[in-house]
Amino acid sequence: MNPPQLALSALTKSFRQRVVLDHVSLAVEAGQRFSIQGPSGTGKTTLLRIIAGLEAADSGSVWLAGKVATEGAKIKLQPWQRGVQMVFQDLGLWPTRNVLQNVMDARQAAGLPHVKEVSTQVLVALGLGDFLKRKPGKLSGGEARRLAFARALAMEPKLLLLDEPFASLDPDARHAGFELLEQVLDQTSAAVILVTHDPEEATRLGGSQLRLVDGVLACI
Amino acid sequence: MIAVFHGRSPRPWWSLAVGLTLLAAWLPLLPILEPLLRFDRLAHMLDARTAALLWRSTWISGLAALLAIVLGWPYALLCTRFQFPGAGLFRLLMPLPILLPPLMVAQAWFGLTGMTGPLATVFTFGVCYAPLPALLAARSLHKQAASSFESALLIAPRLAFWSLLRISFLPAMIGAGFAFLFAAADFAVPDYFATVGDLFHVYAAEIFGHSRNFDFTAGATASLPLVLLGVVILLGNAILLKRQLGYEKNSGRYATAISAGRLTLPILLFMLTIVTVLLLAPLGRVIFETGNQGPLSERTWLEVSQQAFREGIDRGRGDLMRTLGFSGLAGLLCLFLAPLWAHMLLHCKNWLRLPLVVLVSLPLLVPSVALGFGSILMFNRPWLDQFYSSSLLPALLIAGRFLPIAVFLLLDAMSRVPDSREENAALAGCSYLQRLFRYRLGTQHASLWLAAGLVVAFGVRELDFAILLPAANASAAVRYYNALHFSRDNFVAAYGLILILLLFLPVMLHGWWQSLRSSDQ
Repeated sequence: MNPPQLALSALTKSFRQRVVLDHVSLAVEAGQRFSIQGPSGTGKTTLLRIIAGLEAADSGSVWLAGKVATEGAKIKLQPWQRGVQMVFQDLGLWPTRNVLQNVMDARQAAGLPHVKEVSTQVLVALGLGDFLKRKPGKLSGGEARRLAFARALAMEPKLLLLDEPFASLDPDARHAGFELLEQVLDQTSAAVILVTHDPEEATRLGGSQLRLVDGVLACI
Repeated sequence: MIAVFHGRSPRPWWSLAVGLTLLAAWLPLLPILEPLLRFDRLAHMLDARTAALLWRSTWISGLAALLAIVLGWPYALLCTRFQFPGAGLFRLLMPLPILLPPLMVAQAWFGLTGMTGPLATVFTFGVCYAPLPALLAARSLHKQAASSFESALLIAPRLAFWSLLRISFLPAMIGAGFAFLFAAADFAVPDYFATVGDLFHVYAAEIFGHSRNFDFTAGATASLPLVLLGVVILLGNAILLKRQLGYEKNSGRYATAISAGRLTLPILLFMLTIVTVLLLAPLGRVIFETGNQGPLSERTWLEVSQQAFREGIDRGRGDLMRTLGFSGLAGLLCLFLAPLWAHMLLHCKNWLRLPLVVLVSLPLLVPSVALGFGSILMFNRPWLDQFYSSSLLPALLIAGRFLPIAVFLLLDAMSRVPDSREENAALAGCSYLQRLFRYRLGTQHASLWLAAGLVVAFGVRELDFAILLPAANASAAVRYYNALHFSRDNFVAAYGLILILLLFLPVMLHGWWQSLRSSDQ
């Protein structure tokens, strides 16, 4: 039997006196989808950052495909060694590089083959074919979001972390954004964890719905 | 009239700021810009000798700017975004070398290595102005969106490192551009190396040379090529800056520093080497010089050093107090003027911003010597006799010359404050000054005091126009310059160290203030 794509075991994290993750455990199989809801400031983003290796935990462990990635405060696998991609709330695009370079740089640095072909293909599939030479600062909000998804997708991740990718959008844009996400998810076999405030988004994603309150992760 | 200034409109205050800047900064520039209207003079300035001197100044300054970027950029990169022992201390030390008077650095490196000539000049300027690319690069690295860096880190460390290089490249270039300008406009350092070694000339020394035959008009007009060069570089920098600002979209979260890991020791050694070259070696040499003596002397190093400091305080105290007086007055003036200008730039129409930036920056782009010539030509008139010989004139000139530094520092600080704070105050009926000082600058007091402190510090180290202007002749920098040229080495070193202490004070206090604030939060 294959080990789960992601396993969290008794993960704990505090900021000063405030416990934001209290013995959180979870197992995510390949291709499985999870959404995590909860009020602001409850540690949802922190959980994703610990999974991505961008932050250490206080105690507990993170396992990725059977390998220990984080053990307590020690990061055993660096972020680039985890096969994880994350779409950040503010997208995290590289402002000095154009649309095509944003995706190509990523594929090239990761040593993936057919850099230009695949990058162009993914961008065209997500409707950015006409903007390949444009800098991210010149894109509309929706186009920039497409680019962030395209870059994550082009990395062929095993695990895709989405940190409120549609926050601060109006209802129409949010609807369009979710259609884009469904389009993205159709093209990947990665396990997905979506952090959101919106129960409707969680329902549309499908899979298991979780809620993080007072540091405790529970099924809805 | 008073009611106008009590009102809610910024216009009366902005007009006052423009009026004061006209007096302090723009009037002395008129004689420098006059040849632009007279083609016969313009043609006369472009002879073969002038061209050769300009070329020498250009390559010396170009190499100095290159050295500044080579030293400053990696320094900023490592101490801003990497975790290693002492990174915080290195960050604190970063701006200090720019406060060292270049002449003192030249003297120290001549004492250490015996180097002279144009390459020694390149080295001195490169070392002195390395903080410019460093500080601007550090600022951009600080402003990089955390998610932009982290999304690269999820892919490959090489990519994350490239993202740091890319985001800080333009600011480092802008800093190098300013380093080029300041190096091209400085006559004292090449003059020093030409005195202690083989004779050579640069263009700024040519400008200064006109003071020897009291031809102030020729001196002022001769600086026009450097001014034009300055404007070209400023415009180039403005374009780069506009592009850079489009890249900075920090949402408030700062990327965490990368652990240096196995590279800790090499990074630490590299940083120590740079700090030694920029700061410790020149300071160490100057400290050594305070007690240095001939082989027949029977006194100890400490006795000679103590004697030098006593002399420094006894003989230089009057000049030092005068310098602090007019520099302090300049700082006070900027405390009031700089926020008004920064606010004006923040709120003016887009098409007006660049011309205003050029106008505000112009006094800093003009060689300081030429500013001295210009002031003599404008203000040395019988009916202005009292003003011309008072401390008010150097105070005004220092305020005008260094106002751009204060303005741009505050513009950066103000742009971090959400407009809504000021708009809420406007809705509540607050006066313009309340809105500006209480609500826009209320959380940026450290930047305000730093801006004024830097004006004072640069005023204290100002030499070039102080040599020319009778009211500023009895200043600390001029006493230092004269003593250096009369080879009073112990006194020069001790006096220089007293000056350095004064120059470092505002920056160190700001660093301390900031660290207190961050520990509070």
